[in-house]
Amino acid sequence: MLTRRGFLRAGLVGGVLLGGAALVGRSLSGYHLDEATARRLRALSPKEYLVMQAVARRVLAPDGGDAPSADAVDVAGAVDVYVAKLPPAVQRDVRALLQLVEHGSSLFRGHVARFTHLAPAEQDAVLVDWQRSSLTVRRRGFQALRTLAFLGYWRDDRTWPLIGYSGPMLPKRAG
Amino acid sequence: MIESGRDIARDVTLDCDVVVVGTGAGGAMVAREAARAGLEVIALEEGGHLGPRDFTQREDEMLPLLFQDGGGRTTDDGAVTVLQGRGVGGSTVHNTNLCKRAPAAVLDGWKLAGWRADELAPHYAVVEHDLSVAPIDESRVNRNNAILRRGVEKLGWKGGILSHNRVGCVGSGFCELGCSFDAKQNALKVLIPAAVAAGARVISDCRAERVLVKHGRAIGVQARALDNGGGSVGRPGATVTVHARAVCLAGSAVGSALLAQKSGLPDPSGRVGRGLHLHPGAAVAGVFDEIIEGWNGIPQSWECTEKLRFDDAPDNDDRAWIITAFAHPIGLASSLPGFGAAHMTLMRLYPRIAVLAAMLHDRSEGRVAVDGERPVVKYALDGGDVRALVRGMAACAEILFAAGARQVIVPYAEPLVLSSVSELGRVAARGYRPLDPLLTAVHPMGTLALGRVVDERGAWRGADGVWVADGSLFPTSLGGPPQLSIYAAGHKVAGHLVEALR
Repeated sequence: MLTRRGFLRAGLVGGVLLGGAALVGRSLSGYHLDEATARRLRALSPKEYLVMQAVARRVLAPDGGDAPSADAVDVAGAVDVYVAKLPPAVQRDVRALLQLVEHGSSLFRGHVARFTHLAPAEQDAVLVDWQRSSLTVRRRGFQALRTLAFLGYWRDDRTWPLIGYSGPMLPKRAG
Repeated sequence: MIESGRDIARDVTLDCDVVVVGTGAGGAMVAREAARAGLEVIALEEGGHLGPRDFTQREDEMLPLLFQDGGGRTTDDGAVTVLQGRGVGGSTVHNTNLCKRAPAAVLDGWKLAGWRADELAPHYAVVEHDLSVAPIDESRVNRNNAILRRGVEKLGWKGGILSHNRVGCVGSGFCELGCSFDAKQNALKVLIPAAVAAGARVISDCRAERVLVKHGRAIGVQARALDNGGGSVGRPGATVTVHARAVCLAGSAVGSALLAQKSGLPDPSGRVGRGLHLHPGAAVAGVFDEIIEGWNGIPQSWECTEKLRFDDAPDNDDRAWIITAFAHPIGLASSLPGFGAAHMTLMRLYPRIAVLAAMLHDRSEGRVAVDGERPVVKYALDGGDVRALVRGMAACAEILFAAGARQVIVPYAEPLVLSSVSELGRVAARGYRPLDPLLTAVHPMGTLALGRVVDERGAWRGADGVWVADGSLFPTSLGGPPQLSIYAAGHKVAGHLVEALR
């Protein structure tokens, strides 16, 4: 349902893409996350958090004013908590995916802008590109990104009134 | 005694008669039966030992605890999500309690001594008694399942109520996240305590890494104590070496095949890890004017068998078992297509949608390979299975329209929205390609198959002292929920194992 086990390492194409994304990812800087949030991160780096946040804003673009924003429920923070509970190999896959989506435009679309620097409509176009790609590795990546964003959003009690979901019978536990 | 690998600080060597790897339906049954027969039993479980107080009814909290890879395990192309349990009790902790004997046509078709339907019946009977299996009362059929019943009855198709292993169910609807009310009569609640009462020792948070073999005979298992970090992290700790007279693999068709290959167990048939069946399923959603709120009540209580035939004819494309497939919000969101505002608008239909799934009695054979320490699940639908899947999806849509749906959504990446039954042909026109639509499988089977990798007793061919007691055994798809058959297989294999050690 969530991350795709070994999704980038599957096949030569995936390996080449991942290698390229990792190289580009290491060579760039300029990601600023407030210190308090950065200190809370368990699995993602500040940069990966910001990429996940940018993805979540598009995947969970609201269709009405009553919908809490992805930022309001801290989707990227919830994804970080979730990913930290998974096996290390799966954590590595998630982190590699976020690097690839950030720098994938350079590899797939021929322009150099990072995903986090694109306008919302351009970000949507990138996601549609992944969704419709002839490369299985990108379609898998799209599904994984989408599912992580959904997990971070629809886990939150504040989103449930939108869909009429009555929620668990048990009260939420502290902590 | 149930203990945790977290509490094992130093390398340790243990001795017993039988070490069982995995504590799901098959492993728990073997542990109980062997312990009751007076054998010293140690059962190893990779996941944690959880109970009703740990089940919070929240998806994000339970997925990492109850499922392999947090629910993220897929086939290597990502086309099929393979949901598999972890933790004491295995997949019986999160399954929806469906109990159905394998059809006689399937069992008899195996042509394996001791596995004909009439020969397996006594084992099924023991399981059904011990797990309090009974048909769901019609009054407990929730609205989503009532939609299925209504559609099937209007079409005059075959279908009926299902049997479950639940006692004291309050209908919370959270079965797939573990039962907070302890109503599941499963491996965790019934068999493991009975095994422990009979003297078995269960070690959770402890992953079997190698079967130890000496001079062609298994002598035990090398395992690793784990810190699972409140999920499935698997941070490695001390080495746990268990010397035993017999090793029983019961870690699922994926886990057991992985362990066998990592251990280099002899493979004279050349079939270790091969012959994987998954029962892959596709969901189809109907939008209704009435309120359904399918998350309330027993999730799966009714079935449609109209499109499920068990004959071996190459042109038999009626191989879909149709059941309901409702999910909580995260699961639903993942199964609906698209993203952004359009996806959120679909989500708002939640209380008014009914979801059915066509689960395939598959003939395609995949395999479990090894990548380092982890499994790689390779599987692709063959042409016949694609046809059967598409027919099953169309049948789901037909049932939903017959039940009064005003729209049916087939969750392709570009959603297919049907407005009437006259449009069913559009499903076949779209067909299937990997990842479109996404498929889900919860029943891996067949990677250490009877008559190939193991003999009719469940004993390994090529190494003495190795036994198999999980879904790996089944040489074909079952075409229905396998848990009862895995329990029954565990009961049968346990009998042979005990006899061999006497």
